[in-house]
Amino acid sequence: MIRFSCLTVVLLFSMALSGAVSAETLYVKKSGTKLQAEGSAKSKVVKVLGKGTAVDVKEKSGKFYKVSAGGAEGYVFKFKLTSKKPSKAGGGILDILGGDPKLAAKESSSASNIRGLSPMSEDHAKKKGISEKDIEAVKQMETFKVSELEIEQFLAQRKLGEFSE
Amino acid sequence: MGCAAPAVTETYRKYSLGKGGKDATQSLKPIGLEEEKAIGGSLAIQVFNRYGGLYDNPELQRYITLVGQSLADVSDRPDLDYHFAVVNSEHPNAFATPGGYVFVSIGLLRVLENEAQLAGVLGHEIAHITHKHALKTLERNKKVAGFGALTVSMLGQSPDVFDKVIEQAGEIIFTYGLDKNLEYEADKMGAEYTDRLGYDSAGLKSFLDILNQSQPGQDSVFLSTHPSPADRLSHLSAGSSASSKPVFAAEFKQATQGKL
Repeated sequence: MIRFSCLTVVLLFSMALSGAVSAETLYVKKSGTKLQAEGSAKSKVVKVLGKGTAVDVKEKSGKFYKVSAGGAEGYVFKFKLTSKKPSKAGGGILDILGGDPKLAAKESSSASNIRGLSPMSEDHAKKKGISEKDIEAVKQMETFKVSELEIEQFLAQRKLGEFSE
Repeated sequence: MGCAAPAVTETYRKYSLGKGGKDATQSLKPIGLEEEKAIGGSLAIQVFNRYGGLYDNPELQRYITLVGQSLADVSDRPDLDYHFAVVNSEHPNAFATPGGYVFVSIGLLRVLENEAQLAGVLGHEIAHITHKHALKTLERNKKVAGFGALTVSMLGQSPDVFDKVIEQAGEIIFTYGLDKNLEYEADKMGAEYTDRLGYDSAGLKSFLDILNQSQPGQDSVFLSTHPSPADRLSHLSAGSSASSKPVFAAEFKQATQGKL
């Protein structure tokens, strides 16, 4: 019995040292999240994960977690994952699409599907006599985009986020 | 997330309209995304209308968007479409409206010294959106709680109800401000987002220091709708430790030089 306890302690200690975790499931927060070959944002992309995809955490070490998702293994930047299980309404289709990089990348999240200034907002502003210029300013703001690539370059240049060392 | 959850829950429970509101006996059902965007879009139009319109400089807008979107990507609600703009107001102001609209004034950019401070301000505003502070306050507002549930189809058929909702939401954002506990929560979460990204998380604190020393005029909506900088500093200091993370002063100067 004493020998068993010692063995357990040694096992737990070595698990803690290596960062290994026992059967923790986390979920992808946003579609387009990259599963990388190594714990580095510069490594090869193994798969693109859809919002709500469940990942099994194998190891927690630094800013990247080693995970398995849909039969593939790799690393995900830890702040792209959440312990909160997605609601059925939000994640269903994207869970299915998560396995296909092209579809997952193309498919926006449920939140992103509602785009553009609501006609209700525009009508309300006109009724209140707010100038067309201010309405157009919101439309300009909504169409002003930076690409994923620009954000990656911005982060890489500063060594921020998944590019931090 | 390690927030002061009990205090904030209590805040929602007690909050009905503006500061010092009485208990609301009933509340709206949680506001859905489409309705959130309609409310936020209306308030965004009002931000431009009240605070000098769009400061039209695409390079500056691109820079603010790069910092802001990077923060939103590591936030607790990255799947929303976020939009960032600069408003042409001399007063140091920043706003967030539901649905992902974030604004900073040209006056605010002029007093900032580095990118970590900008990230601190944007992180605070993004936290208001991720935690749905204005929406949850609106749901407890006694002047709209009686409607039971707000849906786009109902609001479309009853423009008067939408007018009432926007009027109350406008008062929350532009007149009374959010409850101070929600502001402290946004400070804390905003600092957390900047830390996740790798900025010096004392950026917001250092901006509040500047604001505290400069004492902007009493007509500043930033002061009238937020707890005092000194008050916020004391709350932020309570849980913060020294950071050796970068502030990117040279990068901020390069990105804003000749554009302010």
